Amino acid sequence: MIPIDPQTLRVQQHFVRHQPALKAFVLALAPGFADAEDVLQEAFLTITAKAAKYEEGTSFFAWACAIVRFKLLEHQRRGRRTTGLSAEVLAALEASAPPVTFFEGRLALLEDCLDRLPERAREIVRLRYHGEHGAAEIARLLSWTPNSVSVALSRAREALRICMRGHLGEVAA
Amino acid sequence: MNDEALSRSIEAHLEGVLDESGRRELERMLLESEAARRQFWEEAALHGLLHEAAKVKWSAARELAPVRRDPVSWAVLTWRMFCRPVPMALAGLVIGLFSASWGYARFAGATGQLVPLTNASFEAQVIPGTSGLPAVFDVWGGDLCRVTPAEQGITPVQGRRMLRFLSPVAEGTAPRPGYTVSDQWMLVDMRSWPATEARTVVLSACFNRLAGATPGNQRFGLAMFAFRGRAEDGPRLWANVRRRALAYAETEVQTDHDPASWQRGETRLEIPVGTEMLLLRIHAFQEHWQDEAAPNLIGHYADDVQLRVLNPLP
Repeated sequence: MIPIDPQTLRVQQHFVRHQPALKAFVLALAPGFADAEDVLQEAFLTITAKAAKYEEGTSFFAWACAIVRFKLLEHQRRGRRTTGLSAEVLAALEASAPPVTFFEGRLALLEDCLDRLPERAREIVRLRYHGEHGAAEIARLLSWTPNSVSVALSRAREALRICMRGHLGEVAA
Repeated sequence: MNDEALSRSIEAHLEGVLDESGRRELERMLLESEAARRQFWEEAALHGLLHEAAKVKWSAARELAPVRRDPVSWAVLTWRMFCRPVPMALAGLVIGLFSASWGYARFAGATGQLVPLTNASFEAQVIPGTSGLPAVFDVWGGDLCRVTPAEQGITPVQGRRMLRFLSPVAEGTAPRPGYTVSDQWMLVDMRSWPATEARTVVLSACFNRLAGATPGNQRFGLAMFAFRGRAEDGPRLWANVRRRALAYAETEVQTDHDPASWQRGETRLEIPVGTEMLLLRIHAFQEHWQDEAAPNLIGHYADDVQLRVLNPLP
């Protein structure tokens, strides 16, 4: 019997635990949902293969983000859609990426903040992020103009950021 | 203070409508300013988090919905049925035509109901729990696993994602030697179902794996256990499940060597009167001693879990 390599198991567990934050990291850099999934999947395989190189006690999230960035670049080299951002910019953004707690803390607040959105804004957010429709498709579904959908999405996101800041301020206080 | 021009560029980046000059300008701002990078993360992180939050929020809606039943499934389906997407689509067409005549009248209408399970096809990309049996309703939980899009030549049966069993142990649990399984469970609240009449439910799921597994690693299983109790009792009840369950049903599913085809298994249970919750279980078998090459269940998948009630709810 070959036992499960405990280090690989631990690293996979870290990945599973941090997957929402890693996904948010990928989507920030490569906003297309399908592309982000491809990148995340490839990153998972690489992270599993390189599990022995991860040093327990260091930031798994930072280690994984570096791998994700390289996967993004590989995607771009293969001519796939991901992000138009250059390698230099991706490196700079990775270096200044917030810690995992930034993502996890905000994710925990989002459901409540979504409930506080006006109904129309909530519906547009649902179509964009649950339905995975682009602005043009949402415009067609709602008989709006694409520009008005973009504006509404932008306002909804801003309202959510304000809501989360309010929550985080309450927590800090 | 946020830079509005930068904010507009970030929005365009997130919506995929940034043109070449806009991209160059965004890059310049991001490279020159730490504040711009902070603003980028503040705004762009929300984009990714919203995708995750939306999946959780809007995939969790759960209500009983009458559906047209699949007459062929009840007539000829055994616990092995091919779920290959194209044949399934063709079968669906045939079923659709078929059920429009006698099939629908016989099996569907008032008698057929699908119980929409939360994240039944793992589309929400919500990470199933990996800390063992969940103590709350309507979430997947169990051993180490993940939700994945198509990979390694295996395409989800339903939607864009599927469950991959990763390990026969839960998070924080030491690997166990010998014959074992990788589980995912879900507790379903039955208290809103009428308590005066027994009901028959059918649990089914599709399974697939990479080719080449040894015989002990070709099997999957699914099961249901009826309990009285609360969700938080789940792990305790599981500890001696066959004695504590009011009733249970389980079956195994043998998978073939073709990653392009899925095998659907099903198990049927008459739920006793007084059942308060139903524990659903899907699992992949792993025999360490037979599968030295792939100890981590790296190619075992499940998708499209369905729970149907045969005699209808009012």
